Amino acid sequence: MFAHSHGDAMYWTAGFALLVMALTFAVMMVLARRYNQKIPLAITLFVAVGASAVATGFNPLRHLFEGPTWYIYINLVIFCGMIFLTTMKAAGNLDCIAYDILANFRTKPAVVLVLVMALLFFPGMVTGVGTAAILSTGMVAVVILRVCGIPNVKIAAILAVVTTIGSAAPPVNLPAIIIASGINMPYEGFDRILWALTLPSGLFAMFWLGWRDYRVPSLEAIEEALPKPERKNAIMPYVPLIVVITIMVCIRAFPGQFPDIVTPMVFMVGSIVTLFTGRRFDYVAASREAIGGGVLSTVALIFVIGAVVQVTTLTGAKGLLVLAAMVIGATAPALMYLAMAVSLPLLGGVLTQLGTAVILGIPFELAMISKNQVAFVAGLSMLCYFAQLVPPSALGGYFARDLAGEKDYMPMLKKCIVPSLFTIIYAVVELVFANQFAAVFVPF
Amino acid sequence: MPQYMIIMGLYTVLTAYILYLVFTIVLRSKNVWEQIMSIIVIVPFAMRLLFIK
Repeated sequence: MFAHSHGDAMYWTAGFALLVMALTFAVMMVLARRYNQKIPLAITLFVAVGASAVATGFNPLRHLFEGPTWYIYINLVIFCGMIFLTTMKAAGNLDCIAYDILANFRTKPAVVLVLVMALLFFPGMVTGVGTAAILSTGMVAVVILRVCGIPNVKIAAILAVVTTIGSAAPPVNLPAIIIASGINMPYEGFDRILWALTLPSGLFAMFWLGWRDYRVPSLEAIEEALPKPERKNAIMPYVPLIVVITIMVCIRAFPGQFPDIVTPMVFMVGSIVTLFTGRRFDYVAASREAIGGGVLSTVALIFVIGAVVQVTTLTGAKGLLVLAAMVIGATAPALMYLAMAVSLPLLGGVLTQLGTAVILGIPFELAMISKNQVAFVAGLSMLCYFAQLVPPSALGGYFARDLAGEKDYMPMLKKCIVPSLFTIIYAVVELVFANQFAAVFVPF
Repeated sequence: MPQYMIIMGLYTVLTAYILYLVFTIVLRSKNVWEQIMSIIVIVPFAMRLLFIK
């Protein structure tokens, strides 16, 4: 292994590492397109970061697998959250909840829109992944919104934007966790500031896109779209949710007295309770369905991000990016905020929201370390999440379009512009006044 | 037995279950890229299972 370079040479080493990483990434993308191969982003990034380590004289094997071990816990949360949601769906509990919302509140559009928002928020809140919401409660939300007369393109836009904002809501916000772990800061005290950011944005998006076209549906129309689901009794579909929320509250309300089994195990308890609350289903098959496909790709990408953090720290590439961000910040702070608002979502179109959190989020946070870190990381994470709507990756956007049955992406993206701009501007205001927001919403 | 030992034990069982699910997905998949990608998921979980008790 080579010794770390010092003096001016370290800038060359770090710059060379970045260059090799970017070139390898670009070459792999071109080769994949040339030979018509769908190489997952995780593999492309993994090879690119490995190549940058080799090119700068380091043995990458240890670092490529040591970095990911920091992300085992968060991936367990995602897996277990998805297992919980999929078992809820398999037991028919989600259908019951959708039917209850429509049957009881159809004449109150504001209540229906807020409840649909809650449905779309919940999976993202517990997994930190927007696509989890689209794949689980998304279908239920589509049925409700369609019955209420909202046009298809707007339904797709609601799915895309609200699940994007919902995935930033607490308790699990992946870019915030990634940035926090990248600067050795515990992921604590984020709940209130993340609610302050996501609730107004989510409500604005929901009402902007849904209010004008809402038509009160008849009971016959509801029965036709959503056949009355079977249930053991009125409360049964809600029992798994009540159990999960109760355990989470008890862990926090009675520290030391109530066993802290930590989030993944809470979801597993909830998923086992689901077995007794609705129709019979194969638990192992439901678990397999939950962690396959898009979720497995997301988990692999998060592990690769661990490798990226480890290797870019090793080669000095992360330090170089921090330095660049600090130079911009020292020259003109306004330029820095503009750079954040533009580069985090746009670069995330290539790297996804998690990749952009690592490559740019950590340097931006370190450059502004004098601000309240919790408030600042929360604001940055909001900007990172909007990468879910930006092509070519547009993970959340494409899933939303497909689920709503839209053919083209651009009409949907146009509908997303106003709520997205509102959220991005609000996040930038929060970043500029991070200390003032922290005084109200951050406990320390 | 201390509470943390029980909870760590439960997490070892959970990790083994997740690994079993990932392995079955990999073996059933016909997409070679998905199979390669799953190595990135399997190795850290296997390290958790084998080295952390």
